[in-house]
Amino acid sequence: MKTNLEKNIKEQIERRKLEVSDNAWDKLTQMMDEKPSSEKGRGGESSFAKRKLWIPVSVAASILFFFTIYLLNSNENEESIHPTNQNTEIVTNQTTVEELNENTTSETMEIVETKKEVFIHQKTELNTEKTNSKEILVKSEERKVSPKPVELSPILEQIIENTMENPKMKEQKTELALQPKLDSESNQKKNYVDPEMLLYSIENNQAVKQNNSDSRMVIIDFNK
Amino acid sequence: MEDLVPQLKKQDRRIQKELFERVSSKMLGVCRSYTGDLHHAEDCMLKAFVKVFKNIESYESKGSFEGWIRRIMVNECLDFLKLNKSFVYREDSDWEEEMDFEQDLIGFDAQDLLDRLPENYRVVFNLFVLEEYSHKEIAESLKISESASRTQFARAKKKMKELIFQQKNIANEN
Repeated sequence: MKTNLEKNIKEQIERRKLEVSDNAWDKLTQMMDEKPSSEKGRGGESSFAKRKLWIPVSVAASILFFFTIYLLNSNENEESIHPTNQNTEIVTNQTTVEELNENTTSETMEIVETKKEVFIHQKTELNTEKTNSKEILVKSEERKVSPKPVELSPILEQIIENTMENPKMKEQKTELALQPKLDSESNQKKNYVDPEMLLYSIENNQAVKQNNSDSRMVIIDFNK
Repeated sequence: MEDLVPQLKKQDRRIQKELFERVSSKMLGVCRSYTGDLHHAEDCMLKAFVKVFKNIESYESKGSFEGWIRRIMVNECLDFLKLNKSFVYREDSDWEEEMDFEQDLIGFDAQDLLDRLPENYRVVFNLFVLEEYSHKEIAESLKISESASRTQFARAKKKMKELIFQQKNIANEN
């Protein structure tokens, strides 16, 4: 609610008209023309500032990019080193077995090879930031001698001994021994005696003769 | 005046001049009621006109075009006063509003009375009386409390009453 005083003052002020100066319009047009140019100037400065800001940002981005590429390359190198070593081992083992197979075939010995796949979890620590765990398939080969009585030649015995003494095979065994389950299995395989073979040797003890007192190998003469 | 808006949106300089000639004297009066002198009032009015012409696109034809221009003028004056601020809006809790007096202002110059008011009183008084702002709106625009706005307004009215009595006494003595 307005008082008299308020109403009177409002009326007086509303009715009042003041004369503007003669050059007021010229001043106004001048101000309007100046504004865009000053804005342009400010815009130029801001774009320059933006460009200045982009320099450190682009440098930082490129450093990050190269660092990422370096990391990726180092990862790939580490990945490629481990599998090739294992492949070489496997290939070597396979070659040995193949050689053995050739020899045993000539001696009419039937070797049944059962391939057992063992998963070895290999944890490859790349760096402090990243850790990869990989599953690498390693084929462990196991040989079983058939119950068929065969006479092993001294050459064959030597090959078998060499194979058993092969450091790579030992290494493989050591690797397998790391896992408790595999450890017990390998112990069982070591002491494995074919019952049929044992029975045959008992029945035909004349045909079986020990090669050496130190050696655990026996010679079975199938002609007897 | 609304008929000029489409042409103004095209930044037609001829139409801009026409609008200026139509409303400049009235708007100068508005600006004069806020500023202490005519020179500053005209400066504020010209700056406000630049804003009017530049921001004509933001006018949505919802209210009156003259009212929109007036608001820009008032805001420009308030900005000017903020920049040249030499006063503080004080809030007194024990302030009691003076009883209104039914004096007529015949023979009194309203602008003279406003000019003799302290600046903080004058701004609040103008916003409340001339622009018909509520105390809440005044508080928001001046960034003061609502009670401070009420206090300033009451003080402005008291001061105005004193001035009127002084002038009447002088006139009676003569």
